Amino acid sequence: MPDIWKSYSRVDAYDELVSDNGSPRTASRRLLGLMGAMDASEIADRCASADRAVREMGISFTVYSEDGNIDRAWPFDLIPRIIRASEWRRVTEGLAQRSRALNAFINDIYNRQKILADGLIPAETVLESRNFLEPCMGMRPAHGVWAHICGTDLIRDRKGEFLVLEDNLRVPSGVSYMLENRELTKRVFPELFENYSILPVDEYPSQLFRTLASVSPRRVKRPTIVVLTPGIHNSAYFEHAFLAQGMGAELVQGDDLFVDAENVVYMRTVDGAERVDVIYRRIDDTFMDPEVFRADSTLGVPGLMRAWRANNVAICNAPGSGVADDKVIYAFVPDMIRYYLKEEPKINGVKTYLCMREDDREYVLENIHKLVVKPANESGGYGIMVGPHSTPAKHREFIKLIEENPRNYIAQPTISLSTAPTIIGGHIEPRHLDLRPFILQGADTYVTSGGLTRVALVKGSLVVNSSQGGGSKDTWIVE
Amino acid sequence: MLSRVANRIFWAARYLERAANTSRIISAYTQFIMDVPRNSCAGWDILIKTIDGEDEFYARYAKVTEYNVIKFLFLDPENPSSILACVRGARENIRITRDVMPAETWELLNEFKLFLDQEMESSIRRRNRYRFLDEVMLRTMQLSGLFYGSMHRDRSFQFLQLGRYLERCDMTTRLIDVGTADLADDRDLQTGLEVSLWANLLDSLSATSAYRREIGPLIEPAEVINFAVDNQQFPRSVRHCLDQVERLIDSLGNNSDCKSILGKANKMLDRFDAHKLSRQQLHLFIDNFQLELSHLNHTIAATWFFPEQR
Repeated sequence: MPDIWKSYSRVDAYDELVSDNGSPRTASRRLLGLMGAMDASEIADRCASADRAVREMGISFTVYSEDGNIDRAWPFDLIPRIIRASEWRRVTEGLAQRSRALNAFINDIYNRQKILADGLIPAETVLESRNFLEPCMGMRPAHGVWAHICGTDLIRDRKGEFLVLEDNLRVPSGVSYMLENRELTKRVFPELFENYSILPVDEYPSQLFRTLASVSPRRVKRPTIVVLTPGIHNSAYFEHAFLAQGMGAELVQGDDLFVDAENVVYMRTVDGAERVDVIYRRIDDTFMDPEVFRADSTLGVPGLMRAWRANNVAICNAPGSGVADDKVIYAFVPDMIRYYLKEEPKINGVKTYLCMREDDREYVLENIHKLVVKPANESGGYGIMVGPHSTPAKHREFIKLIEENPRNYIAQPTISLSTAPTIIGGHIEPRHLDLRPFILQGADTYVTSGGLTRVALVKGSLVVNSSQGGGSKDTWIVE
Repeated sequence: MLSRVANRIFWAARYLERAANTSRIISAYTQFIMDVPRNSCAGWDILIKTIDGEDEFYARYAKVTEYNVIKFLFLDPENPSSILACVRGARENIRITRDVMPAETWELLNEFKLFLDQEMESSIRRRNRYRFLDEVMLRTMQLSGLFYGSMHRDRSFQFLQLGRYLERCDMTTRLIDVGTADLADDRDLQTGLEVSLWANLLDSLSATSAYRREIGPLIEPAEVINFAVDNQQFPRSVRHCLDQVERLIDSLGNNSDCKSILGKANKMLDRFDAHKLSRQQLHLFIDNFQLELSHLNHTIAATWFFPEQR
């Protein structure tokens, strides 16, 4: 291999592009051949044009900090991650199956609660969760679907098997970056596309539109769909605008909407009030309607829950969907699949210890230095403790937290996430990554071709969240 | 189209138009000042008056020097007419409405902003000023071209045009006002200088060659003013801009309040003839006309941007 690759020293993890003996994997042979023929200055050139393209395209995300919010350029790594289509098809089936089971579960919880009555899941873990929303009881959204958009985080273990790390059912973000990453690779590395047949990703906005339209309560030819954003200061505002534009839908804020006495939702337009059929909401449940949830919310729309309950508007994801987005519930998903679908899980999760179970808790407390401990309800990588990378003081802190509130913690073995070659300061080094595909569920099910690959840019780190210094890569599904 | 979004687009268009106008004025005035005798009273403060920026300027700059004025007009973020503030304003508004604008808009505005960041400071001096201002104007034209060539003629385009023509109308009246009320009052002005001054007005409006073809090569103050106010074909005349505003407002519903203001403004224009007016009267006319424009602006906002709905 040419110069730039000489320094590539694998770590003890599955590598996406390079096999254990150091040669390129079949699907990545041409990519590595092409990149290998480049010297350091050419690579640096391409990186510079990628940086420029990111700034010109205005791809940014917001980081919250004490000094105010900072708009940062999207950290994009030039080297794509490649997955074989045959392998991806199996993953797709597993994801679709999982999404069906999770939706069946949510629908059950807000209606008959059979799974609790049958004792598969302890009732209090569900009903006492702060993601369980009483005002949603008795609702039956179209097609029995609550979580229309699901972002599932996948990792690969040492052997290369894809495992589900978590299901994000509230307001998962990142899909616009998946699309922009492809756009960037096309601009900066157009010649790569001559040698590969890569499944396109750009159909996502129209698939999203189809999904949302399929749940409209009014049977009209083109229902009015809006994207509800908290506003420009939200870290994912870029994505909200991107998706609205991609669907030809209006991007609205709470005060653009109102609910009338007949429980119908309208938006305020220059031509008067216009009826809204489907709301793709990107604000949290509890901010959605100050009449029902947080009264101090200025982001929401007073009366929205009335309109939803009267079936005059569809809300996606439905309020209350978060009840299945909980790291304790996660441990029960394989049981749900068997229970609701009478099928065996087609994709596995990570072994999970529930601190609320006495046996599990004992194991976790004794082995805390080996485990990853996560709060059940946080997202964005906050509040996680990676045992092997933490100090004894940190271990003691988490032991105390777990003992005080066992329901709120789970633990998993530390899995060394897979790696891929990543450009770090002009060199190519292995960095850990994960993958977030998006699953759409309405009248039909759709899974993205690939998803958003997030990279931990810090050497050895397993934290891939962009809010905590993560980067990203284009993800290719190749035939 | 959402009311909130229409408001943003309207302002994005105003800011872009203003950035172009500010550039055009600086460019024309820089040319003009080179023809002015050294001891004349024609100073750089005229530019501050044109944009109504006295308060902001004198609060922060001790002296009216060429450098200070150009700096104020190029990159002072507190000056709402500075090129930087306008491009930022346009960018912020487009950022919020990018889902309804052509996809390239956001990209062009980002490049515009990067260009300003890189070139602004070093372009204050005369040496690089032209090249810089030329590029600012080209970039605004590029955006206009994008809008003309690719925007669907729906509400977003209408509000974009509405913002553009109102801003343009406002700027043309300001330019005339400066010429009438301030400079020409000065009895010391040589005849030759007065001609250059009115020629400068035409340059600031990019109107010189159109004036020559239609009126003739001689610069006559009253003819210049009539041309800038009332020429229907000239795209920066008050009359032309107001016609466009009226056409746009006709295409929107619920427009009776705006229509009655437009009716008044049109009557003012119908009666206008610079030949019959003293400078004092001209100044008064501009003042009254600007009041109508401001009234129209408020009424547009109340009708379409912040409507009362349940």
